[in-house]
Amino acid sequence: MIITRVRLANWKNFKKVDVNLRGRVFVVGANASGKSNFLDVFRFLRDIAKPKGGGLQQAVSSRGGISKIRCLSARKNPLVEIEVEIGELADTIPSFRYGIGIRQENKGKRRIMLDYERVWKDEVLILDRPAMISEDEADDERLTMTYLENATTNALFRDVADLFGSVSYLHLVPQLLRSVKSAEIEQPGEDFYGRNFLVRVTKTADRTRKARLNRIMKALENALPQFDALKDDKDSAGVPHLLLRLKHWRPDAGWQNEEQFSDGTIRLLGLFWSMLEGDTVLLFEEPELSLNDRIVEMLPGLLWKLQSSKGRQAILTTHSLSLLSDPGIAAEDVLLLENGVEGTEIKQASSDPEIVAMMRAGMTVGDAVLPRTAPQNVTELTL
Amino acid sequence: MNRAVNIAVEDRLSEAVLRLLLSRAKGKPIVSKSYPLSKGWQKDVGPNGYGYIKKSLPAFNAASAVTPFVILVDADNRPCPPETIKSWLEDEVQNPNLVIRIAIREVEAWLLADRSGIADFLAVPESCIPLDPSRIKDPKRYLSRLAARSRRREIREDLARAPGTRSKTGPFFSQSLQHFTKDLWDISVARLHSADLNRAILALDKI
Ligand SMILES: Nc1ncnc2c1ncn2[C@@H]1O[C@H](COP(=O)(O)OP(=O)(O)O)[C@@H](O)[C@H]1O
Ligand SMILES: [Mg+2]
Repeated sequence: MIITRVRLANWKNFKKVDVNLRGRVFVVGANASGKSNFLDVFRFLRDIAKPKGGGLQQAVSSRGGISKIRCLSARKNPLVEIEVEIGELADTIPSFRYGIGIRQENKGKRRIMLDYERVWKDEVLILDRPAMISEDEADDERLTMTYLENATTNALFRDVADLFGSVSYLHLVPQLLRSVKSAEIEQPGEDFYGRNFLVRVTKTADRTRKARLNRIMKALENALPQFDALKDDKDSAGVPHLLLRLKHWRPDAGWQNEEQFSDGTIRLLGLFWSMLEGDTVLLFEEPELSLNDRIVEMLPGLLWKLQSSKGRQAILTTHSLSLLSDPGIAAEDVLLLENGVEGTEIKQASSDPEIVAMMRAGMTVGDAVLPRTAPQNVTELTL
Repeated sequence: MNRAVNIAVEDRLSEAVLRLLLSRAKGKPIVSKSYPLSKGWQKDVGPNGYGYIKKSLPAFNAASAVTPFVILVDADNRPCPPETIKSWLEDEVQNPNLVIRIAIREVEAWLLADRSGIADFLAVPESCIPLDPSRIKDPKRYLSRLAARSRRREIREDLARAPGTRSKTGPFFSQSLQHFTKDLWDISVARLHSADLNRAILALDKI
């Protein structure tokens, strides 16, 4: 299953969004247009639904409270609303629709509350809180929690909870990966910024890990010219490491660990690893960073294969022309973030007549779309 | 000693085609470098590699004094006789080590010229493939439409544009045809059905 539609109200810099998604989603927009904020919607849903340490309260507080989430330019105290549709395929009738409205009480305990939580199955409303649930009316403390976050209450829409719970986010910051010390690896949080990536590798069962590292090795043989071998290990303090050997070194030069890897090697490893993990919705922040264009060009095809053969949805942000030059990327696959009258708007590139006209004349989506995301006065950029 | 050559192409599929042709050429020249290194280079010359090659031709011509260059361009229905190419060279004299080969439409037509090979690969009847593929106006689109009629789901999904979407080809079009080119394309058959391919093969044999 994939997420086929997203509607937002007052989420960060988006006042209103209603957009369809397909199996591969390329999110493009100028700097600070809200690409990461858009990806954060899916991470937020993941944070509510995840089996360990999840929940609405945790999801809001880990973002610094509702004031950080709610759109600053919205009228006073509005609802933050998220609604997503989930289906087998894009452009079909969704199997499920899940929506929540969140607000903060403006007096008293100032609790974070659900204004509503609704679930539709095959377009039939099967849950409507608090309207349909008399206990919610009697005890409003119940509205500090979603039905989504609890295995007992989400039984009728478990598929939704599982999908949200399987969202994974890859934003490897090589500097963090290199610098984090052993004491910090215990901290919770599943996001792929740094050392957590290595923890995830070492926590994987032996056989699976070996199989994955082997597949990655095969891919690296083509991508890294001097690549020789790759393995993982723990040092005496129990800190996980990845070890890599390059060709043409003195035989006794031995293995280098991630502190010595290049940024590109680290990011490639993270990218390949997350593609091999079982997660269903993969979020990537600018996967092109530090990678050679020849590799970047091949990512859309790789992601397509992941989607079509393994059913995984990939949502990524990018500024890369190389990535978007693949003629197999449809205008429908590209979400364009642009400033409109109502703040930042998100639309599929296929809904823009100018882009469609250019693509009909043979332009790739990258050439048609990216100039719009470029700063207009960049020639005047001086320091 | 096999000669080292540099190549310049418009896209990755052309690169796969040219590399294969060179590997079968009499002198078995070895490809040293391939231009452009990435699509990013084409930013300022428009949506297709044709502009890139046109703009870079004087530079390739000059560099071919050091290492021979083999260039493959799609004429894309444009009139593209040797005189046009000469005009791209501005006032330079073409170096004998600069070999330019032109596919009358697109290299995809050369793949279609191996009729039974491509029909098998796409899982479509051979009768769908014209006897003279160089007459097809837009071979990329033609291939993508053929793929839509494939008996194999993977071919339909990888090569044909998804119904109701805006893109020229399917999401795995280039990679999939690169695989066909490397492993399945029979150039001894294809040259019989494509005069421009045959000319290209003869020219590459002379390197
Ligand atoms: N609650 C909010 N209301 C309005 N704007 C916000 C809110 N939170 C963040 N922003 C704005 O969003 C922008 C950053 O978006 P971000 O997703 O990081 O951009 P990108 O990833 O496209 O570079 C900043 O301009 C910031 O001011
Ligand atoms: Mg960002």
